[in-house]
Amino acid sequence: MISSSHENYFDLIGPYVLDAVDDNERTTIESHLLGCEICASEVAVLREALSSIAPSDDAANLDDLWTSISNTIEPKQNAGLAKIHPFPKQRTDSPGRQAAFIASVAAFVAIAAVSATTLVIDHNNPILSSNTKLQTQIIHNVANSPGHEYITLKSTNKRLYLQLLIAGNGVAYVTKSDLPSLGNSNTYQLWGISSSTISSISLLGSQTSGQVISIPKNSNFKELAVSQEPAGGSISPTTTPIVTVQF
Amino acid sequence: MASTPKSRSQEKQQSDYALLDDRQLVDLLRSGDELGLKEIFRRNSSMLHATANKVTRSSSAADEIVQEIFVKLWANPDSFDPDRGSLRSFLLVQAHRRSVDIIRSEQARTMRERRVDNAPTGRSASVEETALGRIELQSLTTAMKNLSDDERIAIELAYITGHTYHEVATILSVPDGTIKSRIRTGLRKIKETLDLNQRGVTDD
Repeated sequence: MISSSHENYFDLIGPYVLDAVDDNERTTIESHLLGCEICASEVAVLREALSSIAPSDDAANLDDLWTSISNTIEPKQNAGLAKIHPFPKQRTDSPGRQAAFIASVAAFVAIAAVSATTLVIDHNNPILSSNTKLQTQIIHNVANSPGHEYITLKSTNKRLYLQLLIAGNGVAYVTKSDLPSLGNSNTYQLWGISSSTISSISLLGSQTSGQVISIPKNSNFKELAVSQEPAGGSISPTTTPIVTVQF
Repeated sequence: MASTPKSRSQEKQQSDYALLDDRQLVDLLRSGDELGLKEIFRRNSSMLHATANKVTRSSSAADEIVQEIFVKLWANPDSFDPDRGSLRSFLLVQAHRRSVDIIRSEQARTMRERRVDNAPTGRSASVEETALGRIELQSLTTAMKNLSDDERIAIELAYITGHTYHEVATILSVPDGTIKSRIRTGLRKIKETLDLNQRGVTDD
């Protein structure tokens, strides 16, 4: 626990610059930095110093990596207009996984193209941070009620996951997640993909654990996906989905 | 292979981009100029990949991290604020943070704890060597040479292994405050040494 003393924040700047603080400390420090020019300046100075001594491997041949990036990014037709970014494809280890993911991306691209003018945005869904005990009880009750369903979204490499418990009334609870905590400048965002639209279901915040969301009834989503977006959310996904599930 | 007229033209065009600064390159991204992104990649990818590789100990993970960073920068160039630091520093923060997030995942944490559990307890050279044996930071740069061993070890353990300062303190059997102090003092020394080098006043 960090006290409100400025000195305590200042002492943590070194570890913070090295990413050697825990998630709670990171969040607290970043809140402090928003209002403290002294600490923000110190962070910037130390980061510049650190970048000067960062390791480098000049012998590494990263041409293939650049080719992959170049093939992934979407051309910008007109920078002055809002852009629809379908999820870019990822590099994967095995041809089988790659093929599966490319198929998924192809679906996203097709859907995005169709839905460019029909995006459904709903950022009013409740994001509730419930009392843990109460929430545990609610989840227990939902899990023992008829009509509930567990859905697990996974990353393509199966390393990351997010599990939702969806009640019969469409209220969903994030029951398990190992998505890493984000800084204040980013949020996770849950998307629903139907045959013709990509809809923002809800922002999940920088930490997904314990979130309560509402999934519209009769939504006919064929796929759910979570992406990382700038704080405040995005109109359409701007980054590769971190975890997905298809129905 | 001989360059085609087209590729020579592209090379010439790319070399022109080498003259641009961070702000100009990022402006090019807003206008959808992929060569701007390629120039940023040329300048920074080696450093980003090496950092991600050292932290995650996985070249494929480093590939994914670097790719993710550049795709995000392309999609949202406004995420970089040139008034708050260099593009190099901005990208490094993302690469390192993403790398740390990965190795702090449950599986990696278990593996790290196993490594620590297998090492002798308490502060000893062998513990530090276990943790530092795979670290090849640019410790021999003038900037790092000026650190005390305690400062250097604290910084390297925290930065490369992804340990929190609290975990570093536990490994080294010293109070949290000592590690926080060593890290900040060490980073300050690095900064001061770099400033001196920029002014042409070195100890060498």
